[in-house]
Amino acid sequence: MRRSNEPLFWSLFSGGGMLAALLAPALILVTGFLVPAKAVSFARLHEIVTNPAGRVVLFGVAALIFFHWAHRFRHVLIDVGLRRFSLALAVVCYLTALGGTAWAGVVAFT
Amino acid sequence: MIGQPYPRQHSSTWFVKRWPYRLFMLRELSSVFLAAYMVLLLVLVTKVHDGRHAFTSLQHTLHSPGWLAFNSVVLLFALLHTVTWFQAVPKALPLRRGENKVPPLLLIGMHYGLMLVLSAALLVIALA
Repeated sequence: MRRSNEPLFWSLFSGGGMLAALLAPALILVTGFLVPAKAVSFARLHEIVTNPAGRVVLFGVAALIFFHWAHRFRHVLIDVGLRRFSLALAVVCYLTALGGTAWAGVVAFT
Repeated sequence: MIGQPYPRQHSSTWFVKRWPYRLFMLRELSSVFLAAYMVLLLVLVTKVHDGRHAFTSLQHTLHSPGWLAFNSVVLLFALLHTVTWFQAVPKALPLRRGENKVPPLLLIGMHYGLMLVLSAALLVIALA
């Protein structure tokens, strides 16, 4: 029997889902509302995004949330009747997540 | 002999017909909003790396009603994600302590507790 990729993608989905559940509301509060309200200083943000731990957290959160999206969105598309395109959807969704991960790496580590 | 499974026919709009289905679909679509938010976050970080001028310009853009509305929608979907994700934890990760199952409500509560601690830490890091 062919070995399934499902456990790998499910783990990425699950890791991203957990990080999003724990962190996303606070992150959105900060960047979506406190930053436009000028409550967060440029100096502090610059410190966070150049801090080694800050870089790793940003990269990890972004990568896992992109793969979380890929897995869930792929299943949504299958559920609304695109089962015929199952393989193509998987390739497009996971490659998009991989592209997002590469971009996150560039943003976080340069 | 086992033949091909019978492909059950259903409309592609089944999920708009009943509330539990609608909620299921909104929950699944939260991932689209979370991914869109990550794109925005990466753009924001890029601007911070680019310098004060680039950052201030984006900060100004984010103050517009359109972006505030977008972030409000994203926040609602993120909260829907958090609530439904923690709700599923006792089913997905049924922790045991010795012989006994950790009670589902305690398990869910522990996740909310962790979320509060991390959120507070994030706010302190950003503001203090």
